[in-house]
Amino acid sequence: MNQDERHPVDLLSDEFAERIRAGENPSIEEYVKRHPEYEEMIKAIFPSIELVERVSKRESSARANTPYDSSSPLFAKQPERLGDFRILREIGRGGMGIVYEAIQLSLKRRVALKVVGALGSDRQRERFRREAEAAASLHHTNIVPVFGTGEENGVQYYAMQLIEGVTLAEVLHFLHGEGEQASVASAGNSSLAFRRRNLIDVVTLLLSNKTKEPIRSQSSLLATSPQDHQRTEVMLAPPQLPESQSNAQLSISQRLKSREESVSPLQKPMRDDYFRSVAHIVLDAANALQYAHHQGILHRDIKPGNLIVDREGTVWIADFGLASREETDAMTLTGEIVGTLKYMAPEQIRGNADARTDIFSLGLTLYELLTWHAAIEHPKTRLVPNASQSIRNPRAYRPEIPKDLETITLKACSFDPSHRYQSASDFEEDLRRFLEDRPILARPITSIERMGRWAVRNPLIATLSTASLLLLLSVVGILYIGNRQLEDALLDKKQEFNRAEENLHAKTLALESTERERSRAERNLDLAIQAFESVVDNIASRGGSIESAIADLADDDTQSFADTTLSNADVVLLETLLSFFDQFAKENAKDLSLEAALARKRVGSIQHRLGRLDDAAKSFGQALEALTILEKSSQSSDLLYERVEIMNDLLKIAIQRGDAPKSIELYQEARRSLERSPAKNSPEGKFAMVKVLNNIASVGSKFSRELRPRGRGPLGRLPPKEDSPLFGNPRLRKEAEANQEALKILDDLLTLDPKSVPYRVAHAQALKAETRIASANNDIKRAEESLTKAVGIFEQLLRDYPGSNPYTYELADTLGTSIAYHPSELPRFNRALELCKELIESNPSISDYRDLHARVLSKIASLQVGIGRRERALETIQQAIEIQKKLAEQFPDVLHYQVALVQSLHQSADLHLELKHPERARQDLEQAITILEKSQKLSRLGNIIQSYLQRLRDRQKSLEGK
Amino acid sequence: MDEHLIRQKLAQEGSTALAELFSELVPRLEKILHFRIDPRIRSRVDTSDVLQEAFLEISRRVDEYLETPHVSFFVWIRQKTIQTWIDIQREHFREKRDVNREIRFSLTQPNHATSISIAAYLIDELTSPSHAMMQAEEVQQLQSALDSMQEIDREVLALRHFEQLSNLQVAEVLGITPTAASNRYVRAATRLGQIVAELRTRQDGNRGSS
Repeated sequence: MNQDERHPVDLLSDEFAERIRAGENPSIEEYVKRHPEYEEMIKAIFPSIELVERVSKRESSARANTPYDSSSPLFAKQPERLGDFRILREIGRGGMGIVYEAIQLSLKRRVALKVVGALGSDRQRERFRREAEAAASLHHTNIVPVFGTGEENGVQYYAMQLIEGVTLAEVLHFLHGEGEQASVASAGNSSLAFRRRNLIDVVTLLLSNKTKEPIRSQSSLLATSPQDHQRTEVMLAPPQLPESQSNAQLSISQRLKSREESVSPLQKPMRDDYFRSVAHIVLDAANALQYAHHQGILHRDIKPGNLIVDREGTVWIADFGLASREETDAMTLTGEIVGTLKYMAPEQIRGNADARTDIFSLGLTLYELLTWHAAIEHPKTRLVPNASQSIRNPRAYRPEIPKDLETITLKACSFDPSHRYQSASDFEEDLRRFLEDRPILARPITSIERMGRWAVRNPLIATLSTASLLLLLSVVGILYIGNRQLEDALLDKKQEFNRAEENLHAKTLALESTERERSRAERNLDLAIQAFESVVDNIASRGGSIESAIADLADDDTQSFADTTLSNADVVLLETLLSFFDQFAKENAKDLSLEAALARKRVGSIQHRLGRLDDAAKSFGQALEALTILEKSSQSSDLLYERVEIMNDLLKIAIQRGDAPKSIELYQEARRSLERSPAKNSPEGKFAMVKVLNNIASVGSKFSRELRPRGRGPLGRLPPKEDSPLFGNPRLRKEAEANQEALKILDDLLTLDPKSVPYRVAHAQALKAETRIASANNDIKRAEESLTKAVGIFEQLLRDYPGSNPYTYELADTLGTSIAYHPSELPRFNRALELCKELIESNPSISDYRDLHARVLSKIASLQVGIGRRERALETIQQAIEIQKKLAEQFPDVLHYQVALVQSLHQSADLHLELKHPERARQDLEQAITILEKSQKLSRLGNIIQSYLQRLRDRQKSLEGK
Repeated sequence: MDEHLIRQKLAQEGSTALAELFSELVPRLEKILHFRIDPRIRSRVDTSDVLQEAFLEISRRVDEYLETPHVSFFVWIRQKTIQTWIDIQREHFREKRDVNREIRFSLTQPNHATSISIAAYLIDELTSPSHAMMQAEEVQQLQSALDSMQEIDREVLALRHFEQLSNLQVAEVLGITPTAASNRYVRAATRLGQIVAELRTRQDGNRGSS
């Protein structure tokens, strides 16, 4: 588009904004000078542009810098006074707030004042208040005392003792040679000199041999004299400058070395003393932790930045900021993860913490003080498989670290909490033993142990993100491929997946912010599972199954039909995914056995729908077993419902196999389970029962209907009744009873919740079953009543959800139910036919619709025969055959389509015979037999198909006879 | 990158290219989300979560997009990302819905939420902490001043400065011509200038009297 089309001032303002974004400081005057003709507009607009851009920029950088919460832009400017306190200067900034040095006016003392902003969320405020409360109850020589808390103008603050010292983070920074400039500068210019002096003092103290005093007496740590820091400054400052300026490229070890050379000659035997000072500091900190833990308070955020060393060499633990009372802390129980990832224990990353968590963090601090390296140098890689999952031996950095101290350190920061010191006092005790040159209690772990521990730990942390990403990717990839030939595509895309996986993996890691990697990984996992589900949904919603007439009584009213039909390729795909899922479930930290069982169940349903009864039974069996185990440890009724559903499925399979005893056994077991459940009187429990009853009431005869030759035989005048070899009258009575019970329960449920869609659908289903049962019992009146009611329900559902294909389908299917095989049913069938056409028009590729269309046609043909219009009937059945042939060709492995075609051919053969076309009749029968013979291999419906085949062959023989 | 090239790359390299292109946009999308997420709930939302979810959705829809790209790739990605956020938000906050928390977004029809976002940003800059109590009132004033602007103008402003979209992209998002977008921008910026000036005057007045 042409730039000229833009307003000239817009272009100027664009440039102005760009310059601000680029870090320039363009003056408004400059623009006025350049374009005096727009002076007025520039002056009106630019100041606000500047403001907006500045805010936008500051927000971005604040976002990049603040670890927790960029939403509470604290104070851009320093407050002058808060309550009793006059603010002097800022001395620190953390995730939770800003710390100021202040004067408490009433007591005329200097304090440190920690402040959180007015815009803090309720949760932050609550946490802040708790922080103060917890910290104020702690009285220990190594814990910064909290004086009190207050609130003014929505600004919350608390006062604590001002410690004249520096944090160990600053010390480490300094020792690292990364410049005291940087670390101190962040505290504000005015206090720079002051901070620097403290820093030098503390470092001198640490490096000097002046901490050789008996360890228990704090006071014996020598205060440094003015000469001391002057000397140190002279000593340490020179190597700073050249290094930070010109030796930026040098590796840390080189820098360390050069520092050692410059420092050690003057400070021998400083090295060993330094380690002892460090041990001493950590010992005191451990003592303080032990005290706090004893009070039921965890720190949760121990890190060098929270340990202050004063000019006397005393360590103070600050910021029991995230601490919580173990017994009452609902807030942290919600799984909220706080703290700094770099110093967080693995279990804390997972949202759990106990005393050992603080020990881990203190261990890492010790490690860093000894080695001058962070134990976990790349916190972001903590979830990357096979990386950084073990901590390097401290002596790998510095061989001069005493062996015992190394052992203590490694024990304290063991990844597995059970390998750590179990209490802070144990930790303290070993440090004391080290300092007193007594044997320590910890023993070094061997490399074999290390391997073993790694192997145990690794799956917990490491495989999470890869495994979930792998699954996620396959799933995403499959969604891409959509409806193409899945199997082939799967192979073709494999390469691409691998590349994409690497890529996405890297990118995802980059996406993850430091604080919540672990929770994100779990989220990945959830995403992966969801994605898996959606693939299964997609596949499962495809039509063309042996059960296609049974709409799932799934609790969703938005069941959608995808554009393709289920095929064996889908099952191959699903099984691949499933094995993946299993492996995934095995390796994962999070317990996935439920998810795995449910996935198994869904694959079972798909196998079932494909007529692969053996495979389906196996899948269901495995799912059932897993759920039974899970139920032992959890009394959740959801598990029960899932299990009952599986029993329902197994029951259907048993009936299809002709295994009546098994089906009754399953039915009774499902009933018993539900009746024993405490939730049996809940709507959910009742509804689960309805599903069981509905199942037993419909599945048997529904199946027999499918395999019953349709229409009237050429000689027979009687409508084909329930003459299935499998299900005699006793069976029908049982079905009738079960269905009555289902209807009764549904009445209750619908009284409670007349609008519930699942109930209404189930009600219509039960009425449909009632229609069929009544019709089989020759109770035509009852059958018609039920049918009318069922139709009414679906019509109402369609009014509630206009245009819903599933309900239109159900309505058409219901309208297409035969009751009396009487010509009066023709208008109803014709209406069904119209609905089918509508459905197909809106979605021509859905096989279920085409199948229903053919079924309705074949019923119409039967009625046409009944009123003596055989020619017409033949035409109609030919239409059905045409549709069914296409379906059978398209889905050679879907039994239902093959059988439907066979039935129509059978019907057509009969008609041809009646119309004296024996040759055509013979052709039709031959075709039918060929198809059925092939189909026999498809499934284990063995005896049913066998008997049907036998009938066809008999018919063929009788034809030959003529 | 040229739109044509992007589409070609996507068509040829599929998911690899998508992941690559998406990750390049992440910082911008984060910024956009940060701005769009109501400041009152920002602390409860992790933008990376939203982005991951958005990526998944985008992966699903990319073929659809490539078939009939109505808008440029970036604008499409932005739409999907914001939509994802809206969906997540609906899901997450459905139960706790109340008047204060009800925040609605619309992709093409800007609304009150933009005022809240802009106001929240500006107020920090315009007020000092020692006057924290005044903030609520000032936020309201600023908000209602922003509300008094035409919605589409306000949106133009937000898109240009907080989301840092180009004039062309703004036009695309709002479905107006680039010229119209440009003119609206100038009008909106002028109005904002007045609002800020008024607010500053009032503040100085308050400070003087207290």
